[in-house]
Amino acid sequence: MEIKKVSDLEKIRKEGMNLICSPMTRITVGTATCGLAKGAGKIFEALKYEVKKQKVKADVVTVGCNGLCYAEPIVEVIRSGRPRITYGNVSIERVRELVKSIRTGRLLNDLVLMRRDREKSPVGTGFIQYTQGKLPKAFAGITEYRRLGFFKNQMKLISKNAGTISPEKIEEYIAMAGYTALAKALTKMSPEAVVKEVTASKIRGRGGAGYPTGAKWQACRMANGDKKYVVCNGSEGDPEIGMHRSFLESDPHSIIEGIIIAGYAVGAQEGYIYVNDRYLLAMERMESAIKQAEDLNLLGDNIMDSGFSFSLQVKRGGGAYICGEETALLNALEGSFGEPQSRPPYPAQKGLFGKPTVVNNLETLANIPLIILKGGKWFSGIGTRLSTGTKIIALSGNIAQTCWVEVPLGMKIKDIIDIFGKGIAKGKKIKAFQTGGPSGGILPARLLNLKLDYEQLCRAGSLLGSGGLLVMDEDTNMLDMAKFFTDFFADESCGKCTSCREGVKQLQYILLSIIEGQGTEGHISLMKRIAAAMADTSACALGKTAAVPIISVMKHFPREIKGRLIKKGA
Amino acid sequence: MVDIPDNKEQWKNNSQSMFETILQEVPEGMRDVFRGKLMEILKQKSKGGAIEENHVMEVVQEIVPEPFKSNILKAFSLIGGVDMNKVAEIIEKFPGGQETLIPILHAIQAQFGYVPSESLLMVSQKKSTFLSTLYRLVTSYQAFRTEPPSKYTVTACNGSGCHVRGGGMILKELENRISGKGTQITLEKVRCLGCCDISPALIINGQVYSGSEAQAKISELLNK
Repeated sequence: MEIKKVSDLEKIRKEGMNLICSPMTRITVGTATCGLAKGAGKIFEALKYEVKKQKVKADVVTVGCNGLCYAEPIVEVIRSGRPRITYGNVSIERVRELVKSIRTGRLLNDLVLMRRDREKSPVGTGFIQYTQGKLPKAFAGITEYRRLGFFKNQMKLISKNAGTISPEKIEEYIAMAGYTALAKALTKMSPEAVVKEVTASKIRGRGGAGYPTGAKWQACRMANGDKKYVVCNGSEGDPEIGMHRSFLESDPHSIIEGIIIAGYAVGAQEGYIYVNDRYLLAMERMESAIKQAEDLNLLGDNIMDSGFSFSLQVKRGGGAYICGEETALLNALEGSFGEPQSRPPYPAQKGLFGKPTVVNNLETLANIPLIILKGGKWFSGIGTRLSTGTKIIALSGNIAQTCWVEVPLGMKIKDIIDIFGKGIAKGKKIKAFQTGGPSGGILPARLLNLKLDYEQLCRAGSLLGSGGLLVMDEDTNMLDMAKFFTDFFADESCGKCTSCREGVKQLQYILLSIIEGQGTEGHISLMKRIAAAMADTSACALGKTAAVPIISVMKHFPREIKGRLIKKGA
Repeated sequence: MVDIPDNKEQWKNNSQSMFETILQEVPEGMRDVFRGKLMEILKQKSKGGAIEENHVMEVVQEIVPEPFKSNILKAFSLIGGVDMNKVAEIIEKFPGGQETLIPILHAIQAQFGYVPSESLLMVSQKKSTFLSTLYRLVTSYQAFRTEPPSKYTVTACNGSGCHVRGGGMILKELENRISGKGTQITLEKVRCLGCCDISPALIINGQVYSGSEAQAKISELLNK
């Protein structure tokens, strides 16, 4: 069918709701990369087999990741009128028992993580009531998910659907108020009004630089061009975070909806989603999502009978960290090597194929439907004055619980580590942390009270970046970490600017000689001079920030370096 | 630019890639002329039928002077079982200009497991792109391999999360162990595998392993 009116959307919403809260039992398996790595694929197959064998009336469905990566494989059971039950660490041996428990109406108490009685979508319309009537006694002992610290302290706005809906079924996305924002924008708002709303939200780019999205859109809207493009940056090449991968795999439609709205706002007819070359599952799900959207006339010619046409394509990257930089990404889309270009002209004026182009991070775009539905003013009330909204943060390193979460900006880093990560693994002490991926400063534990905020992190010599949070325990050798990140940049420098290409190489040599016990005081000042030159003369952020990890280690952990130097007169 | 004959029946085995290899020895400006002349000779040799490898070989032996002859024969020895018809099919699937190059290279790698150098010759011909441009794409993007993968592939996560949890040590050890063992195992380093909760993470032949499990599995492979 094709969606022509808002009421058509309503029909599909009902279908979708019937899938999520089916009168039959619904069994879901988290099959994002984190789940699959722990065998969720086999568990899915085994569940389907057992359900058939034991003649249980149930749908077995794949869903995305709800952030509890450490508890994968996760299986959830929704029985009609009963709370939604989440089982964690489900092994293949327990599958038969699990299906039997559904048949007999019991619970596997040792695997239960939590229950959900109901959930409310942040946009108000996607309200799901799982538990009907009085809560059965057997469920009373299980913690309701909103009481768990892990969920209570999160603010799931854009990640609300991840782990709940099937990424392969557009009906389920529509059931969670999906594409309502698009309908609102197309039928009730002018493109100018959409840009205005986004500007009022004060949302800033989620990819790293934190440029105001509204300003970007306005510039592209005002630029002259017979053709314009919207490009979604899904390059995510940071060496520690897979949350955008997880997001693409869990809820592709929220990104698509954001892109279409962006296209409408700036006057573009075509869009591209540039995805990291290794994210095969994400690409597959994204492509099938685009196909479904096209079938419903949510993409293509004359969308929802509004006169606005937009087409969207997934583009696989070639595997280069630098392609996360917007001008490099555009070069890669054009079929060249991803090399940054000097600006101006900015992509908003002269971008892809020389046409005005908006390049936004996928997380930024996923926020757009919310801003349209609830208003820019509402959005700007979340977070801090200058850093509004939420941010997806992925915790990794020596953390007790590896996970990804969505929190309002302005939250203390200490809280994030303690509440969601459950502190440091093996009872050790935290020594250092790094935000924002490899370009972020390695900061000491005494700065844990810093807040997630573009400006505050920047002042501390780090950055919010795309949201990685790497935690290092007391056993970590800081010199080794500095070398690790310098090696990373030596690999990933595109080689265009001499200062970056040669600078990183020199830093590598110097670090190596310090590690081997050949370093002198002179080396320290030399590294500082090289770093300053790189920051001043590199064309893009990669070169400008490549020396940040080593500089921060020198600043915050001077003893670890000084102890290695050759003493004067020795 | 001259079209490569599209008649799929015309070439047998590797004859087409051998033919293209010969042309690579000819200065770029003169290639079109040579292409026409050599095709005429080949057609005579094959008497209008399919052009076989030995026809191309005869041409090299009879016509080509040294030192070009030795260079070409050396290049022939590197031509592996790459079906040029498949390459041509792939290129046809992506109509358009330069923006199709990366998708084409991905498709070629999906077909052959790597990007064979003779396939680059054909892409450069059909898309009017310099071979050097293609070579740059293949060697600077990490996604592409220029050599066939080994029997076993070990993909090790070299991301910071895994590094902090001992991945760096494991990687170093693997490099030492695998490098001494010939070409049975290819070690691939990537930045994040997306399963940080089991870090240090490694993928061995499609199956994900965590740290010590992976080391045991690799020991098993090395002893095979």
